[in-house]
Amino acid sequence: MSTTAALLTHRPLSYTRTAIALHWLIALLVLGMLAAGFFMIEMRVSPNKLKIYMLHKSIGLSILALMLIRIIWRLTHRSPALPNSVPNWQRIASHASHALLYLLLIAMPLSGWLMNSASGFPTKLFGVLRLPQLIDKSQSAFAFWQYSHGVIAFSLCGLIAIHVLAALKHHFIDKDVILNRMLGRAAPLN
Amino acid sequence: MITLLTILALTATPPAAKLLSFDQSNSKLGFTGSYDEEPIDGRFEKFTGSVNLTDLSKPTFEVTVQVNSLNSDYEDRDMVLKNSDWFDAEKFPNARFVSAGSCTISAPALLCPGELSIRGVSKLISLRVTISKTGTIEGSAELDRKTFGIGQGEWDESAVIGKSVKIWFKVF
Repeated sequence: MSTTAALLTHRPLSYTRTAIALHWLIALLVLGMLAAGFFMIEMRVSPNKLKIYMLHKSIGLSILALMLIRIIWRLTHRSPALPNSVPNWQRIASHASHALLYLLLIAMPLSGWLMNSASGFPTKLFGVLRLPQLIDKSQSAFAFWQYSHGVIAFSLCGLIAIHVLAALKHHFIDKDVILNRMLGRAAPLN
Repeated sequence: MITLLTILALTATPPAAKLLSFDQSNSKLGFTGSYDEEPIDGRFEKFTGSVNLTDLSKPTFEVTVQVNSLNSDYEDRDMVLKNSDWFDAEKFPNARFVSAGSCTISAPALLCPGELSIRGVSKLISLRVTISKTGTIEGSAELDRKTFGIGQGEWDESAVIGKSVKIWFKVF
């Protein structure tokens, strides 16, 4: 038995419940945040707009915390291997896109936090926990991080679309286990 | 009772002239409000003021602030604060403070009465003034922004932006 084969046989068939819960919770929050983000920036300035922004910031910071937990979980728990039917180029593409998703899901709230710090508005979690400002107040730094937050948002939308389409392709065209194992329906590897 | 003359006598450099002027080149003037119950501040970049000692028995102090020079290091917020619901900088371009009588001691500070006019509303307030050993004069007053009609219409609530605002100045 080759080393790779030995490694594969020791990998789990499905994700852990925690990994599945984190995936769907973050997915739900991120989709809601992207939609709310594109909507709220068009709003007229009003107390309600400020309240929506405050909620957006709190949820964003929560996503950052959840992503850190998720990365720790990922590093300490083995993820199931891709089915043998998946060609090499797709394996490379899959790993690269997942790494980029993780990166963007960290960069998104972090750029928001930097943007908020530069604006001088307090960074507070659900009106209760005050977090430190990452940088000093600065109009130019704000402009930079605001632009970055937008670029990351659009990149994330594109990457999520690819991620979803790939999952659906695996499920409906390739008819493999990839989507099912993230839905908690463990199935044997091909 | 202590007069403004005494305040100036306490500073490192005693006044030589009868009319002392100051502006943004040697002073700072700003405000600290609250947002989500956390402090948030801004400053006015254009103002002129003077202390008149011509009549030593009645020294006077006045400062005029150009409201449009408000700067909180964030353009969007500045634009909102200058609009008609807030300072209404277009209609009321100046805010003004004029001393009204002598200061009283409230160690370690002095309480100096004066009339503050913002947005067409004038109120008698008390400035709390302290003087450091290096001669820096600092003053502040806590006020309710609603007294001056700052934050009208839908902003007449204090869930996000608090009612209490501290105005402050520092003369070096």
